[in-house]
Amino acid sequence: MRSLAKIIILALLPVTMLSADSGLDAANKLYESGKYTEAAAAYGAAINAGNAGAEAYYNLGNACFKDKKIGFAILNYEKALAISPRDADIKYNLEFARNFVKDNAVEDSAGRFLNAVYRFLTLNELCALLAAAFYLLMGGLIFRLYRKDELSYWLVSGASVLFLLILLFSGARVLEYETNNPAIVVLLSVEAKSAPIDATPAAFTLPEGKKVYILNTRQGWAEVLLKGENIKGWVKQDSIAEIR
Amino acid sequence: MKKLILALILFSGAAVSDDITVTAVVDKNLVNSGERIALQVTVSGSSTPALKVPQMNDFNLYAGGQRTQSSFSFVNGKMSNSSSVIYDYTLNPKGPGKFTIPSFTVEAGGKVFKSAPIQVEVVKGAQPPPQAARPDGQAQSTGGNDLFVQVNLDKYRVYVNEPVIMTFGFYNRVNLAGQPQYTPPDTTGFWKEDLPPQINSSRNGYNVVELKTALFPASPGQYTIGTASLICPVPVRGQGEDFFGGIFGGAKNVRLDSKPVLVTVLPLPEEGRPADFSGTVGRFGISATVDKREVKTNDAVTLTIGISGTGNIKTIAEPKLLLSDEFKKYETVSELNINKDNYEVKGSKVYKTVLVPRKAGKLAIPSIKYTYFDPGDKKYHTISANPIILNVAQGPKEESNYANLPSLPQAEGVKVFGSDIRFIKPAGKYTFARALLYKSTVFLLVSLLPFFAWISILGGRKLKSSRDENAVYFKASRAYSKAAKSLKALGGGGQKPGREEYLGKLEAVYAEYIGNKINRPAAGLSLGEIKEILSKRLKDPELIDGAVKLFEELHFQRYAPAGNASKEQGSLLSAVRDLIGRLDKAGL
Repeated sequence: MRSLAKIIILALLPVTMLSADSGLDAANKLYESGKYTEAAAAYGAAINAGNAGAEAYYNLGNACFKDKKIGFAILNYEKALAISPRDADIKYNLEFARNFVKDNAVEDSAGRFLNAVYRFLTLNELCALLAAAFYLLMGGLIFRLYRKDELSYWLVSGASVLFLLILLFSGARVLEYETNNPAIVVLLSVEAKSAPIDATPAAFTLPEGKKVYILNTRQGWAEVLLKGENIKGWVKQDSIAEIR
Repeated sequence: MKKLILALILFSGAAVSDDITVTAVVDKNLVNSGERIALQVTVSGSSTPALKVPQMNDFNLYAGGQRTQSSFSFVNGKMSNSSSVIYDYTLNPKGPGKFTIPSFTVEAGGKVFKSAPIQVEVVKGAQPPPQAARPDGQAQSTGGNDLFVQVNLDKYRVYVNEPVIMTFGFYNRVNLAGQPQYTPPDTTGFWKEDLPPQINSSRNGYNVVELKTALFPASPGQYTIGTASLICPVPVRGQGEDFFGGIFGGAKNVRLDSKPVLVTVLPLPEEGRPADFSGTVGRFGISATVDKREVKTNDAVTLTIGISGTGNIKTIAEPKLLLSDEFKKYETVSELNINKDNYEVKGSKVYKTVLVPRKAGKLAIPSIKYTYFDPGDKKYHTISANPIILNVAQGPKEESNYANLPSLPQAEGVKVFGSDIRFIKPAGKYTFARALLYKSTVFLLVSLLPFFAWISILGGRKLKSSRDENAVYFKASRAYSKAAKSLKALGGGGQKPGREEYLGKLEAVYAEYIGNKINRPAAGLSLGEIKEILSKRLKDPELIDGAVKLFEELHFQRYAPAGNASKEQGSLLSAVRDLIGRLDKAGL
C-alpha cells in the first residue's frame, strides 16, 4: 500500500514539468553577446511560454542586472530562489544585487543563519517531508497493533515527535506563505503616500529593489508594509512587482 | 646578507682610512712673547674625519677657519681620490719658555692618526711685534699702512634670522708677489650665504677688494664674528745683496688679521606674534595659481604657491593648505630659487601640489596665508593669496556601478580584481516551480492513506473480537435448550440404539453442554479441567461434585458389562437432565 502511495506522489510531482524550450538557448546566446535588453525580453517570453524554471528566472535576473534594472533583477532572483532555495549562484547574485539597493534596513527580523535554515526547503519539500513523517508515525501505530513491545513503543514515540516538529515548521511556513504577499520595488525611487490618492504628499520614498509586503490593493494602488522599518504606505501598483 | 654588506663597508672604510695623514706646521718655532704663531694642520687622505684639537695649556688657541682641497690622481692605472682639509689656527703663547704643541688627532675606522708634536720656544720679548697703525676710523684692522684688512657689518644689532651683510675689505697700496690666501672668520651661530662677486675698487689711494657675506643669526644672544685673516706674499725690497732676490721675488708672507666683531642678536618680539608664524624674517609676497581652472572630476590640477622676497629663503616653511574633502591631495614638491643680485639674499620658494577634485561643481581652494616678520618696521605681517575657484565638470565615472561595494576580501594568493554577478545557467535540466502540494487533494488523500489503513485495521479487529464474544454467549445461552432437545430426542420413541451407543450419545450431550457453557470444545476435556473451570464459575461445591461424578458415572456405565450393576438407561437420562437443569439454574 505504501509503495503504491509513493508511486502516486512521484507521478504527481512532474505534473508541470515541460521539455526545455529552445527559446532559452536563444536568450542565452543574446546574453552572451552582450545584448542584455533583448536577452531579458527573450527570457521573459520563454517564461511566459511555460519555461518558468529557476534557471530561466535566474538568467532573466542576470540580464536585468546587466541592463541596470536592479529591481527586476532582485525580483527574478527571488522568484528563482523560491523554486530552488539551495542554489548557491542564485543566493550569491541576489546578495550581490541587494548591495546596490540603498537600503540600510535589515532584510528579515530573523538572523541570517536562522533565515537560511528556515528557507532551506521549499514548501513542497516540507509537505512531502511531513507526509513521510506521518507515514512513519502511522506505520508505527499499525505495527503496534500487532506487536505491543518496546520497539514499537519507541518507534511510535520518535515518529510522533518528528511529525510534530515538522508539522510546526511547515505550519509556520504555510501560514507565512498564505498571509504574506512579498513584492519588489521595480522603479527608481518610488514615492509612497499615506493614502491611495494622487494629491496626497509623499510619506516616504522606496529605493529600487526594496522588498515590501502587499497588504491591500485598490484601484491601481497597493498598500505596502516595510517590515524592517515597520511603516506602511500606498504605492502605485505598477511600481512594484509581486514575487509570486 | 645585510650583515655581510655592512661588514664589507666597515672593512673597506678601515682599509681606506689607512692612508690618512695629519700634519701640523708652524710658521716659526722661535717667537717673541706676545708674538703669534700661525699653525696649519692638514688632514689629507681618502677621507677626512673631523679634527680633534688637543688641550693647550701654554697657548691661547684661536680657530681661523678651514678649507678643503680635493685631488684625483692616477697611479699605476688606479684612480685614487684624496682630499685634504686645512685648518688654520693662531696660537698666542701665554708666557716665555719652551713649549710643545701637542698632537692633533683624527679618528677613522677605529684608528687614531696623529700629527707630530712641535717644539716652540718663546723668548722674552726683545721688542714687541710690529703693531699696525690704525687707518682713520677703522677699528677692525691690522697690518701695516700699506696693507690692512677690516671686517665691517651693516648692522650690529639684528633680529634672529635678519640678514647681516659682512664685508671683508682688503686694502693695499703695494703690489703683491702672489695671490693672497683668505681665511674666513669663524661665524658659528650664523647661516652663511656668500655673496659673490668680489668688489674691486680704489679708495684713498688704496686698492680695495671687498668680499660680502650674508649672515643669518640662528638664535638670540651675543655672538662674535672671529678673526678673518689674509696671508699676503709681499715682495721684499731694499735688501739688494742678493741680486736674484730682487728679481725673483724675495717675498715674505705677511699675515693680516681682522679684529673679532661683536653682534647682538635680538629675539623676535613676542608681542603680536601670530600663531601660525614659522620664523621667517624678511619681506615677502605670496602668490597661488593653478594650471587650469576648467577641469573634470578625477583630473589632476597643479596648485603652485610661490613665496618670494628678501630674507632667508631657506627658512621658508610650507604654507598650510586647508582643503575640503572634495579634493584629494597628493604630496607637495618644493623648489628653491636664490638670487644674490646687489648683495642681497632674495629669491623664492615654490610649492607645487597636485590636487584631484572628487566632486563636480564649483570648488574653492581657500586663500593661502603666510606670516613673516619684517625687521624694517619690526612687525609681523600676514600675506594671503587670492582664493581660487575651480569649475569642475563631471568626468567619466570609473566603475561607478561598483563604487559603493564593500571592499572585497583579498586572500593571500588570490587577487580579486573586481566583482560581478555569477554567469547565467545553461539551458538543459530545469527546476520548475510546482503546484503547491498541500493544496492538492490527491496529495492530501495519499498522505492520509496510512491513517485510513490504521483506522480500518483497528475497526476490523474490534468487530472481530465483538463477534467472537457474541458467539460464545450465543453458544452458552443456547446450550441448555440444545441439550434438552437432544435428551428428549434420545429418550423419545423410535428404535432404541444399543446400550453402549445410547450411553455414548448421552455422554456427548452432557459434554457438549458443559463445553458450550465454558466456551471450550467438548472433545478433549479432562475431568480435572472441567472441575477447575466449574469451581471458578460455581459456588456450590456439591453441585460441582455431582457434575463431575455424573461424568464419571456415564463413562463407567458406558464401558461397564451390561446388566452388571448397571443402572437403567432412563434413570441416567433423567439424572443428566436433572443436573443440566440445576447447572443452568446455578448460572453456569
